Amino acid sequence: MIETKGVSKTYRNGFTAVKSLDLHVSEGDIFGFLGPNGAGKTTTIRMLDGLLTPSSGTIRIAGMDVTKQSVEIKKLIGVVPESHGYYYSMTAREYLRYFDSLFHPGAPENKYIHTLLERVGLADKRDVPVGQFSRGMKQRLGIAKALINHPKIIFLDEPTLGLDPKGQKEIQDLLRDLNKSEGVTVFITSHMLKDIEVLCNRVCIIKDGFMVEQGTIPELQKKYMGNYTLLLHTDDDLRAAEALKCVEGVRQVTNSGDHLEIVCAGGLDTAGILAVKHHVTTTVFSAGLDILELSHKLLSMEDIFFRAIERDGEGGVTA
Amino acid sequence: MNRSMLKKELTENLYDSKGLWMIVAVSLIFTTLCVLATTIKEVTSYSQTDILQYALKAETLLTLLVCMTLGAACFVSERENNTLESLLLTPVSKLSLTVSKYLGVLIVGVILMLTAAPYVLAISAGSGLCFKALALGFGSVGLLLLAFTAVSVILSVLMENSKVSVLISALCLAVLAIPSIMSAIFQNSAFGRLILRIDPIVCAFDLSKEVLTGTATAASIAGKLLPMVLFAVCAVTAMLLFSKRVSLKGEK
Repeated sequence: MIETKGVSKTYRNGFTAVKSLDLHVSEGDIFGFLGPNGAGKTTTIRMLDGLLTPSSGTIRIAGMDVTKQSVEIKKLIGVVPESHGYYYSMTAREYLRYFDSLFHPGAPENKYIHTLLERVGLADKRDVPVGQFSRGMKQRLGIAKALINHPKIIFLDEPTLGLDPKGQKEIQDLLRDLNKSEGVTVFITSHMLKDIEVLCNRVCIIKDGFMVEQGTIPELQKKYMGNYTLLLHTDDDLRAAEALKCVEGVRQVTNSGDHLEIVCAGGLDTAGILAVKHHVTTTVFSAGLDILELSHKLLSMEDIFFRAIERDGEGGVTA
Repeated sequence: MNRSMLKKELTENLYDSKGLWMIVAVSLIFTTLCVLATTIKEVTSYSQTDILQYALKAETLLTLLVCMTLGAACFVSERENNTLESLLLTPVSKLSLTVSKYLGVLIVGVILMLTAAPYVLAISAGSGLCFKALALGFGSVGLLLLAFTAVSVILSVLMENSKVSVLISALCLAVLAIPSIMSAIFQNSAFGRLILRIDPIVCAFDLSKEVLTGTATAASIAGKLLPMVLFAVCAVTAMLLFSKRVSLKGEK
């Protein structure tokens, strides 16, 4: 659905915001685009939606070249920009009607406007001026505006910025629903790494304009995980830690306060991991202790993000 | 040109940008002028033709000032309010966007000319100059309106701050209006005389004078109209070319 090859952007002042970016987003993906401030996320989105022309490289959206077929592409996409402005004197309905008329000039009022307002939870506020809206309501109206042309792809630049947890959850649910029910491909940037973790199936991390990582979240978890780590909570973690130090296949046991982190030896396959789990459980039971909780450690999106950024800083992968 | 965008621009110019208040202010100024012309002894001693010329000058400068103020803010205010990005993400072309904004300001100018028309008619009543005064009020002011509004829209495309854009627009108008006020000084040098010959505002005022006093010939009318038409054509063409440069804040 979105394909970029060697895309770079250098502004007239000489600053290169994006360097040789290769992206691949499939149809139906919820794609997270991450990076620290100034990494080039907004520049990339503006190149993808045709607002900026890349200095080099090619961008294809649904098989079309962004620089040559920008009008056709604008009909296919919806965008929620980072700094979204509104016409404060217009009501929510007038605002959507205005943008609908820009996409469909001369058409009578679209009934879809009412459906959209209901979908984003603003149906009862349709005749209220946008100037009286809260930040969360404005953000939802911005999403409704981005959906006015039934887009196949929606780009969202920091959609949950400044929203309370309830507002963040509402936006997440809305995007998930759009993706599932209408098959809309979602391209999202956010500093809320938890949002990305629960929402996205694929992510890309960029730093200083370079892509440092791209893949599915399980792929990245596997890549950055290192040694397999068990999380164990017993009725006496101190005694359990002592007992587990000499178990075969266990490299290190640390007590984090509310559970034990048992780092397994490196290079274990699935059978090896099962064997270590077996040794751990029998050792704990042999010591007369009871297991209250046993799970394995997964890397959060935050862990992956920082490890990818730090690895790049140490001269790691750059694309 | 997009009709809904034009409608939105006109509504915004009249209500949000206080265009309606500006129109009320202009009609108040004209009412005051008419009252002064009929009640103050020193003013009543002027001939009807002179008062008519002053009224047309006032109409010209007020119409241009209001429209340049609105035109100079049209793009830059969208940029400042972060609404331009959403507009540029629609399939509407930059040219269509520019033309819609331009027409939105021009319509306010036409409303101002229509507001001034009854006053011009009242001042010229009984002199036999009604038709000529109306033709000048719409024709020559309309020509200047086309040009100066285009200049202000160009400034709005180029500037990043609406106050600076409005200020520079007002300065442009002032610079071109100064020779008409200080024509005696400009007559003293060859360069000054050249300025007086090509300055569109001077030409418009001279055209009014010649037409209303009955001294105009076909050649003199053509000589006065030519700089005004050229200025309008150049300004509108430049505006259409500059429409390609409509972009977001900090990206020019």
